[in-house]
Amino acid sequence: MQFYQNKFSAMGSPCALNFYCSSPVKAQQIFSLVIKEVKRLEDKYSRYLANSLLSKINTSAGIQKVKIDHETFALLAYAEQAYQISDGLFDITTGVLRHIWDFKKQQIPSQIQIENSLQLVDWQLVEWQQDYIYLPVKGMEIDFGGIVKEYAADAVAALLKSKDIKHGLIDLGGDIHVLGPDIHNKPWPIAIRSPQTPAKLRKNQKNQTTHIFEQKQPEAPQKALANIAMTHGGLASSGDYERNFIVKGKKYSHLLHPKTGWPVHGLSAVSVWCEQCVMAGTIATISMLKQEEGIAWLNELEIPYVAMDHVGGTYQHSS
Amino acid sequence: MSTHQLLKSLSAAALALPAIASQASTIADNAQFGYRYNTYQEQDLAAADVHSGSLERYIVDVNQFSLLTPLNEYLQASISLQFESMSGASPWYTQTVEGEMGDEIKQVMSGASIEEDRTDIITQLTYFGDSYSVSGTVAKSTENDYNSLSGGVELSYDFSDKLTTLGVSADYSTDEITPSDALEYNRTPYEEKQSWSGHISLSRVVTKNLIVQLGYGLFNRSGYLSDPYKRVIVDSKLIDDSRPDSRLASTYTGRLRYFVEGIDTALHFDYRLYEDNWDVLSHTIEFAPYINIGADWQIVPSIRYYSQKGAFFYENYYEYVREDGYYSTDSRLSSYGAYTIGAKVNKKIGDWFLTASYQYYTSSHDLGIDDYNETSNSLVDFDIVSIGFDYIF
Repeated sequence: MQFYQNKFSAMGSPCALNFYCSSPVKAQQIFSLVIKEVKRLEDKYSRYLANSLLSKINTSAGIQKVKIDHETFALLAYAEQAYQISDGLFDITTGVLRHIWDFKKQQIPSQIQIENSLQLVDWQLVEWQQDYIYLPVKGMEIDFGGIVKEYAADAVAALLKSKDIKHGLIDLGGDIHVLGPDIHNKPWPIAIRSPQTPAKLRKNQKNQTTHIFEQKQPEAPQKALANIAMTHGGLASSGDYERNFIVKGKKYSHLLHPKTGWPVHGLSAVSVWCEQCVMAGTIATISMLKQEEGIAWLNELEIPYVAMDHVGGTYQHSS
Repeated sequence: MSTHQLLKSLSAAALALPAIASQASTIADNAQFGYRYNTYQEQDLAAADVHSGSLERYIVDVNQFSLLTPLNEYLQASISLQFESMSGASPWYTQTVEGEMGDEIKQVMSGASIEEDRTDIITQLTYFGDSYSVSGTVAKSTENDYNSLSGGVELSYDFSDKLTTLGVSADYSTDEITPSDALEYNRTPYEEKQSWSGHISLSRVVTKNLIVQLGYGLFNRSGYLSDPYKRVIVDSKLIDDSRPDSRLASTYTGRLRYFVEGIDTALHFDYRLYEDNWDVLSHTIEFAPYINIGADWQIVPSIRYYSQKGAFFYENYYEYVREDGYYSTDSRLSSYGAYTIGAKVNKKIGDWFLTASYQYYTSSHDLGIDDYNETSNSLVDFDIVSIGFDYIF
């Protein structure tokens, strides 16, 4: 049994597939299938690709219904549950606010701009059924940020499992799914990067929220928010360090509140781990959106997490 | 809803995502043990309708035990045992009695001395594939005057759109009838009966809150289909209950499940049309809202209406000899209607599932919508109380 690591880029993030496999030929085949599956989900649900189903749904807003398949329906049904459990904070129509919050130009939009944009944010306006979706107002958008990349990690894990891989780890830009312990029956050590990691260290790591230490090839030491050991399940993180800008000493996060239209301000980083990466991602995102109440909410859920607030205070719960 | 319940619903939605769901086999994760106790009690007949014998009818106590266990990732086995004890009296034959208004038809009952025990054992093995499951069932039922052995296969297939499920099943059974006290009462000492049936159904998810299922079934019974304990007076002679030796029936079913989000309730509507070559035709309509209260409680009130047009040879009392030689005064072959009202309460506590239910059934000729043949005076009313639990290991 050999260890294989394939690094690739997908969904706008650096990704890595780590697994143990009996032959290099099989390993190569599996890697191709993994790439294909991640690419399939990216092509279908990317908001940056004009030909994606998601773009088609968004450009048809206020014009016509768009036919959807079972997978898209299941993702919408999932998004509906996420909306319900977050009292409307996890709203997949929030993405439209990104047009006015331009993180490249680092400009704060006017309150009038924000209020105009908020007219287009309301998941409950969206008409969707088993076989179609219709965004009723022109300009409305949905996006599966916080769902699809995480779901892709789970899908890859399912794919590896179906190929009889018993020891593997997929990392899609920090969204991780662990399939069994490593070959020595030891958990995979995962370091969750602290948002306070010095910038020069961070630069080398691009956008990665978390980084894997493969035992054979240890990476340069970095400041970790937590080191956790995983044998199975999903891990996802959300934080305001990924994309933000600072104006007059105040940090503006890329995570936007669906009711106020302003960036959330409360927690700096949250990592959650549970059975599925997609659930971990949703819970991490909701806790960020809950701002000051995020930690209390996570504690109430009794699922394992680590979090850091803006003054560097850390919180955790492991079960 | 509490946060934990919300988390459960999110988890359920995550597990329904296709790439994840393909891995989440429908096979049970853990073994499960279940127990049910049912008591079925028929109400006494009205004294005015009975000529002689006991007014009391059946009381049946049933203890059911079931065990379900996964054998590996793809195979699941289950076994269920049922012990039934039955006592009481049953309708025997009808006769006319001179009354104030002329001849009146009265029921003659057996004495209240019938005591019966029945043991059923059902074993099932199910294989779960990616988009289908196949199961095989073998069952045996033993009574002192009745033995039955049956086997069946069942296939369930999910189409790739995950919206449509096809179900196909077939079974066969062979029964031996050895009536008690055959010599004493001049009953047939030994008879046989064979049955087979086939069923096909198609379920379709129509909208996110609506599922519809349509089904068709074909049932055939042949051999001795009469009741060895029932008699008929014809031409002043007491003769055996005598029915055709084959019966072919069809059923058409429609089921609808509609989930009402605001009140966390699934509405169940079921309809069944039954017809057979004895000219029996029946409609069954049932409505039951499954009301979820929080994540742990479920309350299910239900109402069922049944209407039957009786068999072509049924009469409450035969004044003339029939050319075909078929005679039966069994109320189950008459034209009548019935309704059942019931309520069930389910509760989950950790690995325990508790259930309790009550049903009341009443039948009469007047409740029926068909009015083709005569009123029976031995139609039954009964109630069933059921309690039980399942435990997941």
